[in-house]
Amino acid sequence: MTANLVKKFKEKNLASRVRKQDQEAFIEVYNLYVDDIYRFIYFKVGHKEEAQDVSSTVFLKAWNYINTNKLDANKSLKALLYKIARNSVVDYYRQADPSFSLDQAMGIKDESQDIEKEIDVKVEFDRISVLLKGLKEEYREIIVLRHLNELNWDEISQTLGKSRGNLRVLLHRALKALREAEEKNK
Amino acid sequence: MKKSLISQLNQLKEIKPDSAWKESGQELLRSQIFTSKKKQIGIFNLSALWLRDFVKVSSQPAFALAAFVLILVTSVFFSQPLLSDAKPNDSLYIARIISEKTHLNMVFDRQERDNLSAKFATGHAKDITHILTDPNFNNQENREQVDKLNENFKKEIYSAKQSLASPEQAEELNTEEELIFSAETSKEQAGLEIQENDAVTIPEEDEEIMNEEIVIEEETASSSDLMEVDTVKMLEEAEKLFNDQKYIEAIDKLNEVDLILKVQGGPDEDLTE
Repeated sequence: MTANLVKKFKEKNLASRVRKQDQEAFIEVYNLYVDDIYRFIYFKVGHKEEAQDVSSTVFLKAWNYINTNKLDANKSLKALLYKIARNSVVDYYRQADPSFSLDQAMGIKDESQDIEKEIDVKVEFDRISVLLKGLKEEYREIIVLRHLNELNWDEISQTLGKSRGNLRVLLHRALKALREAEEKNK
Repeated sequence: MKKSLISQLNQLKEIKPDSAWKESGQELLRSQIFTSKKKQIGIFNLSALWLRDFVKVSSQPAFALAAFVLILVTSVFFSQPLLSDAKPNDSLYIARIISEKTHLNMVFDRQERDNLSAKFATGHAKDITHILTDPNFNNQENREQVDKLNENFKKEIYSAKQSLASPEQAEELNTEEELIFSAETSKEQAGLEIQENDAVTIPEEDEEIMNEEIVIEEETASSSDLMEVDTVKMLEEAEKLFNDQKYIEAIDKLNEVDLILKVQGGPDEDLTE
């Protein structure tokens, strides 16, 4: 519990310093969140190199946003980073297909992944990773945010712009879909 | 099933970017954000930020802790009168014991605490005796429970005596305890049979007397007189009466001890039982 409080305090204090445009504090923010942001993007784009490229742009965009906008003290800095990461992924898809929209991004499945084949060959990912990639984008997104990157409901709500109730339902459906996919591939 | 899925998902936390890429990314970011003039936050502002964030982060657990303490304190004081009627064979009896223990832990004055502890122990002993006066309960069918209550009575009396004893009496009690334990062990080793008590029947008049409310008038029991009475000795007498299965007399004796403890507890104590 104490460790959790210390972590919370550290995050809060970093966010306060970043709001005052403290550059050193922002470098600390990068060190603290880069792994999580990379993981989030990785499960969206599906490739290591592209995930790295998109992740690099997220922090710079965030810094520019902080410099030009007044950050609301009640809004989480973490949520802002995820929001920017999400938009950066949409930008990444748009570069390939200019007619690509956010709604399309929500329904996307990683078609390049042949699940059964991937499981057999066991290349880069383990089984659950492959199953996760086979889910609908919005299901994959909520699972990554909640279970892999351990965001709280407030932060997820700010990132995805959905109510807590909707998010809980979405997570329930996502886990159900993942369980069904697991059963199917046994 | 769900748990194993979550634990499998937890394994995916291991997916991280290369440390070389992270370092180069940090350098790139540093070079881009430090192009503008470096912002320095003054020591005063920094301290103010620390303080404000500390208050924000700690206010929630502090509030939760305060609420917990408040609930605990109110439940202790409000539940005690409700639970005080719970008898040793009631399901609520354990709640009564917990409530009393919490109450004891919240008394910091040693003497007051000893007094309260003795009062609780005497109360328990009295309740046990009350139960044993019931012929429907105190019979061969409930032999196991009766034996347990007999044992508990001894423990309660011992605990009350310890709380009330002067240093010399406490030493005596400790020696006595050792003797009791060694005697019991030798009995067991010798394989002696313990004589079983017969079911107790109580005359109706005695039962009426027992159920009557004992109203003590302050004139007859001045606190100075009661202070001088040796409560430890009275407890021993009550124990002897209990062992002789003179339960009514034992209850009377325990009532007297209870009254003395109430008087010793302070002038605010209610002397009507």
